[in-house]
Amino acid sequence: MVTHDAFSASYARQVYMLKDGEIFTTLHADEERSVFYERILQLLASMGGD
Amino acid sequence: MQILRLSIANFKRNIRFYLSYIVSLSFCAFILYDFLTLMDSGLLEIMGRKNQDFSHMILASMIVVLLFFVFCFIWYATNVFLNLRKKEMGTFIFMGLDQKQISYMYTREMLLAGLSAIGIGIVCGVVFFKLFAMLFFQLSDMEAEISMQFSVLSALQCAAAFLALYLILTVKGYIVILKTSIKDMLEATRQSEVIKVTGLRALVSSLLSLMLLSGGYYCALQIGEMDSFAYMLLAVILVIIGVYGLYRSLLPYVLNRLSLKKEFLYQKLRTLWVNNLVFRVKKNYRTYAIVTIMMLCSISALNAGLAFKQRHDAMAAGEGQFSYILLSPEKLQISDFNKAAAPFGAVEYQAELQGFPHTYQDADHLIYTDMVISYSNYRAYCKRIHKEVLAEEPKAGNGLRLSKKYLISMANEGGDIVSFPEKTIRIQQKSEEYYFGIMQNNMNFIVLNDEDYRAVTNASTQYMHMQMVQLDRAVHIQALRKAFAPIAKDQVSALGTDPENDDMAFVRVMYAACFFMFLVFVVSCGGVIFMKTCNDANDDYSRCQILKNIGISKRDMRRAVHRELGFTYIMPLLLTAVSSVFITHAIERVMRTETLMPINLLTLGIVFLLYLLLYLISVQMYEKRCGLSARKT
Repeated sequence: MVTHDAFSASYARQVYMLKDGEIFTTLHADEERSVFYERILQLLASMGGD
Repeated sequence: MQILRLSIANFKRNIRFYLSYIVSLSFCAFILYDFLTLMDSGLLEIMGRKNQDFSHMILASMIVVLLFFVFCFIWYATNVFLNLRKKEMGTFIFMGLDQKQISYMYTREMLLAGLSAIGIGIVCGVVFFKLFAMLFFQLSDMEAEISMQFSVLSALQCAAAFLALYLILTVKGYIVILKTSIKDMLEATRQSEVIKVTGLRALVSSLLSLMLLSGGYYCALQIGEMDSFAYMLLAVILVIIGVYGLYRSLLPYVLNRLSLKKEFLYQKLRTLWVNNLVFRVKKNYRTYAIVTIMMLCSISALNAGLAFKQRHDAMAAGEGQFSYILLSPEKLQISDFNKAAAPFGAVEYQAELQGFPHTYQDADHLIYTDMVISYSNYRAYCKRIHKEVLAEEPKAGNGLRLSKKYLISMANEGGDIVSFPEKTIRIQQKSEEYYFGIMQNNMNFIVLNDEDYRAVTNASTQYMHMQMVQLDRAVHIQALRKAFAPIAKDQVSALGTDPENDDMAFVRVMYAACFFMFLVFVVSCGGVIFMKTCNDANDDYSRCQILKNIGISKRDMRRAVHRELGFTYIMPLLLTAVSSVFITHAIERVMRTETLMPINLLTLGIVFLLYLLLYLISVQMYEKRCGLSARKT
């Protein structure tokens, strides 16, 4: 799955965040989906993009 | 001053001869100026910042290709002119001019031709810019307010680029004349007219070139997916060498063989032109080969550009299949959302889908996350969105995969096995047809039969509920998200396309630019063949006189000339047509489309019409030059 949508991404076990064509960071889903979703949203906000 | 006047007089006298050269070059200048103005005008700003940068990059690279091409073209043309005029120059020497003065005169003459070409090109560019831009935007499917524009900067850049190329080549011509001996000048147009092409060596090289060309076509037929690079490279190399060989050995060989057969030669005036044609083809094989290869390149570029555009359009259409999609972990209270969306338009249709994203590893340890749905859900969903299902319900252990279209992908496709902890599913059918709008761009969809679906789900499965909605008018997704915010409560996501954020729009510009480059190549290739026939007509003057003296009627000679010239135009065109069919087939396979061939045939038709026109002009010119025109009889 390749997506701009944080909600879809929260269903994955691992999320690779891309920025300017490079892997910016990696997230592992160790918690419940809704908590993981929050974490992705926060990270996106701190990265300053969509 | 005297010399300047002489060069102007010469230029005027030879204007007919320079015509194809000036027309081709001014067309190049016209396109160059309009490309530059388009970049300068800010019209591309409507595409957004990123796309504008990409489009500038595409146009800039096209300009580099164009300039390189112009350089080769001028190089070639100056050589042709030089050879043609050498004898005349020899005569000038006897009249008392020295070589330096002749070089000076010749340089002036070339500059005059060049300057008029640039002048005409830029004037045409200014006058037709609006038409050009309208066509460009039409081809790119974009809308913009286009006004008449004149960019001094672009005109200067264009003129400077052309002049720089010109100066380099004129200096070269100047030096060449200085270094040529008088004897060479006087004998320049006299050549050995017997060319032996029937020996064993000729047979071997003919067969070899035929094999290479067929090998190239075979490779083109073998090109399957985007990863068949080896075949692509091999096809390109073999076709280029094959085309060269075809003109160099095969065609002269076959024609010569035929001319040795009396039953063939003594029919339909063939004695008058077949041998001459053998001589011409053998002498001009490089030109014909280059013309054919260049036309092939431009046709392939055009086809590839078109395929990219079609694919991009299909992707954009797939993304925009629905006005918006709602995603939620729970079943949605859709009536609340419909109420909130009411100001944005009336609902045309909506459909619900339930599935779960499943993460698995394939045999190569690549990790995928695909959406898994049940067949009964998929069938009901298709009915709601008024689409036919892809296939019947798969049997146990089998599944269907619906994936996104890629613009270009160098990666291998995913394997055909999807593994679940409970069982393994084999993909029996795949498709890139869009059923799930932008969701399908995000992830692949796997459709299982109902029994398998139940088997791979359990109490802990995290479902995703999707609601696809089509409204009766376009919707602004950001505004819609704001309207949904109070009821969405962070757990519902609204997906939609943002038309202002189309990050692939530059593909359309690529197609439009390819189209204009194609025009430049075709016009110039026509110009090159035209120049060659002009050159040949000059050579043939004495032959025509001899034929006239031995009592051959002008009518017969004209008919022979028509056939010979027809052949010189038809040969490259025919070879281009045959090769382009293979190339188009290969591009269709790589880009997974089936719609290029009719457009390719249309393109070939346009080229054919242009060449027919050039052929008619050439015939006129040839007859006049060799004293065969009907008026004089």
